[in-house]
Amino acid sequence: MNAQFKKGVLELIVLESVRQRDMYGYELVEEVSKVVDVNEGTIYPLLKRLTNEHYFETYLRESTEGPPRKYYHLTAAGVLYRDRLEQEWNELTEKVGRFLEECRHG
Amino acid sequence: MDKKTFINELKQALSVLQEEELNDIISEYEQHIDMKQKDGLTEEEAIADFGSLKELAADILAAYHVRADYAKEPRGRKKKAVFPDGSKTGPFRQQAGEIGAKAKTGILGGIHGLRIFLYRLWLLVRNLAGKPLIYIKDWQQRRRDGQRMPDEEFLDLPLMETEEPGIKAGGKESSQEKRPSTAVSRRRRTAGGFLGTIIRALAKFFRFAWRTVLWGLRVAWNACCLMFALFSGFCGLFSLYALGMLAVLLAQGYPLAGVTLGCLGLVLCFFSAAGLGITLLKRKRGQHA
Repeated sequence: MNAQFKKGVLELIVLESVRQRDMYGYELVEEVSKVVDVNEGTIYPLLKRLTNEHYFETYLRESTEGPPRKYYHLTAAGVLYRDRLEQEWNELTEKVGRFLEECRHG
Repeated sequence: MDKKTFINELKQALSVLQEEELNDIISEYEQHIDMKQKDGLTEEEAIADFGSLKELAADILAAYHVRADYAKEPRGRKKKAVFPDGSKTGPFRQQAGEIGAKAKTGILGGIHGLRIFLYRLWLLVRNLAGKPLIYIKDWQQRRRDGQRMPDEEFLDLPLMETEEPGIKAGGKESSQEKRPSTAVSRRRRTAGGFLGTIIRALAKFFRFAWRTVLWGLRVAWNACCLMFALFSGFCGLFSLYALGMLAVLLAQGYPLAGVTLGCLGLVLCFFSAAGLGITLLKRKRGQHA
């Protein structure tokens, strides 16, 4: 799939995944990888940015194996942002779909 | 590439970031590699999944709004720091960058910026505070030079005969004081003798009474103003506190923008009310604005 497509929609997928339940980085990477095939390294910067913009907040929780894990939690602002993104996504796909339809028939 | 070299190279590529942030993001990648190994992959495979290290670093830097071309451009100038706020490389920064302590220069650059900011703030404060200070100095000077301000003379005119400024300042009158003083001396001359002393004593008494009344009024007025100013000041402080709390909540994502704005308005309102109370304070006669 086009890398630019993925990049744009990645944010929405990440936000939605974390909305379902709090997750730590690696878990999230796996979750997202189920939906789109993405370079695993690029999720962390995204998480970082969303955290810096206060859409996520983080907390540490001990794990049975290895060091404590950093969990991400969606804030209220994050929920609003996710909803906006979803709306934009829907509008975009609808418009593009309609455009392609028209081109095919016209 | 094994884990150690990968981490080291990534650190190198991200060294413009603050140490805290750098360690944070590095630990995420370390954990990721560890997890992958637990799932049965080798270090090399796990790292290969990240793809090109340069692109990865660019992605990470982009998340911090750092210019990505630092990592992308394969120039020999890798050692030179590119600062998050753009590409300003003044002599100070260039020098520091050449030393190679790039993380440090990031912090130093921050401190430098902070110093500039503080200096500008100081200039602003000085400008703002300077004007009233100059005015006060000027006023003190005038007071010392001329003893009494012209409008005060005017206010005191009916009572002036008791003060005998005509004698005191007889020869060395300055030109603007001439008119009232000559009038006074004329009156003094016409009064004369015993009657004159009685009138002077009476005038003295009335002046005293008048001053006392004025003083009482002024104290009462000042007390009211001061109470008002203090009350508003405290309310202002309280709303400032509330504003801080709201701002924190807002930053955490609560939809409190409206309330916060309202609170800001309240803060401004209360503080200006306090300022009004203070400006309404009356000092000694003739000195109030």
